[in-house]
Amino acid sequence: MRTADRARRAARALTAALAAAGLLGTAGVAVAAANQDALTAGAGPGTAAQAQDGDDDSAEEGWLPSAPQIFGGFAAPHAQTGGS
Amino acid sequence: MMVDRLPTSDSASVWPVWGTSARLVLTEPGLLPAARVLVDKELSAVEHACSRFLPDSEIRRAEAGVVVRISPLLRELVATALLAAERTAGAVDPTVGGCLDRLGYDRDLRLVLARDRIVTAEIVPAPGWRSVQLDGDRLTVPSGVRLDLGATAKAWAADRCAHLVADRLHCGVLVALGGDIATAGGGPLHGWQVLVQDMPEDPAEVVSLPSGGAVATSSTRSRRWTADGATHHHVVDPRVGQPVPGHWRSITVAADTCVDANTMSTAALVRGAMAVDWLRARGAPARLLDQDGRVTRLYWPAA
Repeated sequence: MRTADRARRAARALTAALAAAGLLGTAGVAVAAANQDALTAGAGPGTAAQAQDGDDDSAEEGWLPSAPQIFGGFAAPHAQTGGS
Repeated sequence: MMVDRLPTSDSASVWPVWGTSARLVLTEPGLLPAARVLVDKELSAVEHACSRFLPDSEIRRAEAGVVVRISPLLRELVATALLAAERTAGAVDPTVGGCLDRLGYDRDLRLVLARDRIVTAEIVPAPGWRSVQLDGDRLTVPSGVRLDLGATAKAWAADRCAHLVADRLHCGVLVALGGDIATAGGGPLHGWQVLVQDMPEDPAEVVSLPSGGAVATSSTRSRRWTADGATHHHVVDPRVGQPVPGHWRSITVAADTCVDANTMSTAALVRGAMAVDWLRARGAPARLLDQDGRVTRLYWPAA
């Protein structure tokens, strides 16, 4: 795992801990980081089957995209998201 | 099919593009004409670089089985697609183009739907993204492999257009290409208000997206057609070369870039029952709608 990924994962674990302790307004960004290895290793029918010969899941395992905090809306929408 | 039920206003421009609708919203409505010029030019460039349906698009010419030098734009689009494939262990795979062709989606959907009859060819798995080699500006697509960058290129274009408009015109901007929404610049005080709804009969809600954020929805109900008596949709499982089973009607994900949001929403659809765990492990704000109309929320506000 790359250093940057480790740092991001650590940051998320810290955020999760803060959220669990009620130190954040919402647990919205909390992430079950501890579960990640088990999920990607165990993978279930998804990852295990779709990984093609020679596929290396390490990039997937370390991928933790950053995301904004989403709140409930309260006004007329500017745009709509739906499948396209 | 997403039904855009939002009205056009003085601060928004709406027009058809790529079989869906584009929507451009600015915090400075007076800049809309200038912004529209920028966006139109960028979308045209992306289409000519990577359209599956334009016979003379750059990507069509690059599918030659030999090393081909490609433009910086196509290089970035292909690199984005390959990175998405790597990050999802191949769930989002750009080599599904041939699968879609064999299923009958080999031209603009409007033309697909207008055909009298579509005969499905033999269904086989996608060749796999690792068969595509990108080395700087040198692209090698094996003979017979057809690329479809649709899952990432539209999202990339939304990101690109939003940042382009914000940087050039110094205003807040939202760019929506179908279900792919990107924002940039200083947004409205309480965030961009986004209606989350795929089909008219689906439960709807409005969320507030902070400026700089992005959101994307992938759906098994959109872009559907019938071939050999079976109804297909456009999200293909690369492992089998067929549309993913309809465990979910739609999945909406938020991220800091639309490419990340779309990559996750598409990969989650492919993962089916594993989608919730996969998204949760990434801390992804997501809203999943199953076939029975039940909504699952992850790091997502209650309705």
